[in-house]
Amino acid sequence: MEFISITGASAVLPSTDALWTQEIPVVMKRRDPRIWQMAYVAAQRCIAQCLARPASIVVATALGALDETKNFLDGVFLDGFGSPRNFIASVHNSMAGKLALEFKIPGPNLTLCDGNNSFASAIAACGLLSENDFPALVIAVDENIELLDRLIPHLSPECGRELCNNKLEGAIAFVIDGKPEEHGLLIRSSGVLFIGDENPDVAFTSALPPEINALPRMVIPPSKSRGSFISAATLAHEFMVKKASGGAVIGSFSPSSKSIGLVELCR
Amino acid sequence: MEQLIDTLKKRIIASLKLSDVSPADIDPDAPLIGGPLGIDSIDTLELLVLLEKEYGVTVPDVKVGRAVFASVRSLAGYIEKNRVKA
Amino acid sequence: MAAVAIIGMGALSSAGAGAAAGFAAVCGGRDGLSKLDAFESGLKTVPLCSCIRDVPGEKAAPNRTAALALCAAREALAPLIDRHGLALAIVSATTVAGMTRSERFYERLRKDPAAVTEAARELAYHEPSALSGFLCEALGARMFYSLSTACSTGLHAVGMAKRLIERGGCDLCLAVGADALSLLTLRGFSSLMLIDPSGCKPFDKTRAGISLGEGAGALLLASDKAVARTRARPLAYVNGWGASADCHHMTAPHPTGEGARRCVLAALLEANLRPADIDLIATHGTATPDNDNAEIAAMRSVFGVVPPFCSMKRTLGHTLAASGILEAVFAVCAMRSGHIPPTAGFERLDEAIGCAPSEYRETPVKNVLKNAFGFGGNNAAAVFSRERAG
Repeated sequence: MEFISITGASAVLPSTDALWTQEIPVVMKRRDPRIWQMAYVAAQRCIAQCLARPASIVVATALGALDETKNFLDGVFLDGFGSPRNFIASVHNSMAGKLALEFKIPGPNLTLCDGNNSFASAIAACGLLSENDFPALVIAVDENIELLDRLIPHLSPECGRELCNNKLEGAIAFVIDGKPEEHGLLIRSSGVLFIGDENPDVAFTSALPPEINALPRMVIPPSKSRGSFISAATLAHEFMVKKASGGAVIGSFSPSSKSIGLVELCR
Repeated sequence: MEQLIDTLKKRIIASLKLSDVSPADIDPDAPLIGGPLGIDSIDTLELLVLLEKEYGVTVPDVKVGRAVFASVRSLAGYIEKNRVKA
Repeated sequence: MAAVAIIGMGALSSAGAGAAAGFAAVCGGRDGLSKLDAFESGLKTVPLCSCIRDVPGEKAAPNRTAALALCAAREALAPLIDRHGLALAIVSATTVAGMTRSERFYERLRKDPAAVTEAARELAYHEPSALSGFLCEALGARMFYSLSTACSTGLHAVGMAKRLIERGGCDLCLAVGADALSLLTLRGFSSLMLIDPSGCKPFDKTRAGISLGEGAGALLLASDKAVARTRARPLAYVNGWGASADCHHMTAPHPTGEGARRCVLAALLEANLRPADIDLIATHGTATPDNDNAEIAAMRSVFGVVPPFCSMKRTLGHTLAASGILEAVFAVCAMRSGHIPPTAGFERLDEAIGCAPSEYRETPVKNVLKNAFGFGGNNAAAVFSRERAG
């Protein structure tokens, strides 16, 4: 896969950014699900940084609109009436659809649901777009709800480990351009790799791409990126914001699909 | 009928999550759908759920629904005529 | 120029197990719907759906969707006896994934909070990615993508698999789509008043909604190198893929089919074909008043005179994420055998649409267009041809 460049980046992390709700449009605020709101604000912030409007959208989400799914089922099981609005939002690609609607993004609209590897999968999917599908808006978004808190201690040990900091919910947005820019931040991923019962860190090390230009490189194995579904995207965003030189390779592990993801960044 | 209209206003506000609207703000004769409250076609479906859940009233299809939802008053009228639950 | 060949196909639906059986049902215009009895719908009027009686391997699989996917995948891989050292990638398409199990678990959990101790077992395969992992393990695949874009997913999976091969990411890629019937989707579509309980009537004057279905489809795609090395026989070629967003409404299509038009044009452009080169359109044709109207409006805006078209939704039901691939399999079968399939469920012309699906007939088909449109105004189109792109 070729490198593609990041021309804009933003993050909405409610746990550290209490003011993000002020950027939610009034109409969205009262009716639209929180996960849509997070994605919207992140997209808005990111698009504002870029000259060209995105032509396509790629969303990375592990569980989608969990709250809406739960609310829909609650309606069905409680008194036999599921809310249509809850159902619409519960479909995995509802965030991508809403963003296309709000920001008038007419091109390809993809949603990758690869658990903790969703961000790697989405970046790799960008590598499959056509030239005129760029710039692409890439958003990694997942939400935490009380039900998930209740379930996590009872999930498999691997899943529990991966979601040890699952309160880290939010939306991380990038605007990606197809052409590698000379002085920008470059990113690429070859997607998600099935590893079976192999140790994720060992598999990650075997899959490490060769170093580029002997630049210093930060390597974050899956065991160091765990915590929440958006960890990998959050780390990529941090790397970009810190303006660190050199490169980074960020690994992730999804126990439910026994697979790892790998995202490579460099300047 | 006026009491039903009052109750309906409150239920509409709750069901459609119109949190910045109070019952006094709703003109019972103003258009519901596409009117000042910003109710869209998906809201219409929510209102159909509301009708069935609270009053046991069903609307045969969305087209009839649009006539029924012409205003809060027309909605109250339809419920009075067809309600199954008290 | 490099080509992406289809060297294997798989299908499982209420129309039958296997691509051949399913295609016979499609060509016979069979009504594949029956009254839902697999589970309690909770609806006053139990709708007609397409339900599969026996899903092979369901007990051994983590959930019904996974079992469906594996059946179709295995059939598509069957012609490839020896991979000759080539790696296999998978692009999976699903909306339901493990929800059939998750929703039952959640129902229990609501009544009995102590059931939370079973979460590990019940939710292990909830996610789309878990389906992909299961398939990789069963089929010896290494790289995968898990797509979920509602009813357009299957066709996007085919498009992504095509691109993956074209860009040199792999030589063999399986695009597999599967969705099982679930309470969530049934009650969900019902709450949107999109279901016609008496059975869907695609393009018919009196059409009133969809009929849900379950099933799986799979296409095994191969690069030139893979075809040469394995000496596989190309069944057809994937020559074009288009993707677009309506930017209009979360569930209803753009009334003029503007987004659909753009993605069909993109697919034609990539396939290096003119509209006149398309011999058959395997439509999305879900039988909602809006979709069928908008879809033909879009086709008219692309083709002028709309080529022969069909909808398979009465025979197969609307299999959601699977539909794009499952119906593509039968579209390719139609192309290979030289038939325009009939459209079960259609009886009377809708003057507002202005044209009717074709009757069954034999005729050479060199290029077929497949459409798939999903929630959120998500559009996909693909062109399949007997020859490589010119």
